Amino acid sequence: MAVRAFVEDDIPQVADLYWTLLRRRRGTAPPPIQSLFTEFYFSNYPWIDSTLPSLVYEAERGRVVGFLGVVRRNMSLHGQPIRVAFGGNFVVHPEARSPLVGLRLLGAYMAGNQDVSQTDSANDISRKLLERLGFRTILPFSIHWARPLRPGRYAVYAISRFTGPVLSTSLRVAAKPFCSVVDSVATKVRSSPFYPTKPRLHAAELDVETLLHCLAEFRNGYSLWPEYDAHSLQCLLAFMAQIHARGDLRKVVLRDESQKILGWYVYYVKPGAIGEVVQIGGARQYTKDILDHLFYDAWNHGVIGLHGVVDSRLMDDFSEKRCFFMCRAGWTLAHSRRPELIEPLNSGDAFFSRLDGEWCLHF
Amino acid sequence: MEELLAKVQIAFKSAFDIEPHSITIDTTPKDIPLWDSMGHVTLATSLEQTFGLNFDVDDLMEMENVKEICRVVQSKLGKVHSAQVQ
Repeated sequence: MAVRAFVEDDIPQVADLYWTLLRRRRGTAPPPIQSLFTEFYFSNYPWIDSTLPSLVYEAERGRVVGFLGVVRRNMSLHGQPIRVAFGGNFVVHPEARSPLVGLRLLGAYMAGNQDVSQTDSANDISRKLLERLGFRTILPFSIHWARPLRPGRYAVYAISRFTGPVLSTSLRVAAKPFCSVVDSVATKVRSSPFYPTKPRLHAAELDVETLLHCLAEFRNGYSLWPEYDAHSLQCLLAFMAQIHARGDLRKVVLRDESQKILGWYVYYVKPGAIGEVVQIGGARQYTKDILDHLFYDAWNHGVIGLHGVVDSRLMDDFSEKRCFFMCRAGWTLAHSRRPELIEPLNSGDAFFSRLDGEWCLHF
Repeated sequence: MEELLAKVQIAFKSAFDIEPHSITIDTTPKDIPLWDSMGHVTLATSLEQTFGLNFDVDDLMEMENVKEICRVVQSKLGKVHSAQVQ
């Protein structure tokens, strides 16, 4: 019984663990899920590094009872490259009946040859485990923002999160006429805080080359930033676009009258649901204009509200644009044998978003 | 050893709310449904409070069952005692 590197032959067992325990579905994982594991962990994606392998815990008779997926993301600290290993898809079979399966997987992951071990989507339980093993919760990148766009339906969404699926569906159906009236009034009355402000910046589709340019230009003032080239960014965005559970990936660049780039945003559009924001960037003084544009765009696409992770330096602008903040599941934690490497994260001195970790690679 | 086991039993009660006497030197995680990874962390915290010790990651990994817990705790208590004598 031991921790070892994840190999292709493990996929059926690992996919089943993922399917039954993380996705909470019955039976064995369907072939498309197995194919996704093969594609994600064993093709030539830039985030796969054979020297930072994903890990399995093998029990008696070759039975796999635990899995920890590892992806490599490249970052720079003051221009010096650092390797960050993001852990995700962490799952242990409850019948493994050894409390050490999970801890040993995490211990082996931390002992890898990366400079920093990190996660950007730990739940409360994982957070406690990781903190016990020496990880630090990175509060500046664990603060989530929310902005209702259709307040009636957003309120129903918020309430239904605390109810079961049957009650949730009933609530949505029963509240629909009422919500329509509330949302109609809230978004048509000019004095309403939910009135969608017509944006003054000009939008266009954000392509890979432009995003690369934006990431390089607007990271100034930060010590730590992600490193991409055209290939790695193209692969990442293509992978994100093919995962439809969060909606359609929308990428927008914003310019002024003179065509100068002032900002951009990337988010998932899902009409009638929450839009998950991947990244917002741009010139600091235009943050509120960028937010206006994002809110207007999402509202136009039928989104009921937006969620994201706030850059702590921009909280005042988000607050002014009537976003509210919360610390909820989706914690960012980091560990390094060289504490100076995670200090920029701790102090919010990092140009880091959901694009740059493992959140965007969830499938 | 009996005194040590009695204190370990108290730590188990605090961590898992179970009858202290149900814990013996042969108890393993298979006997306690709540003793999973998270339960292990809770138990470690409870043991730390009971014995006034601090466990590092290696200690946590060694504490596979009650017998091992007693061994680790005894070893750490010995080190603390030696340090105090010096």
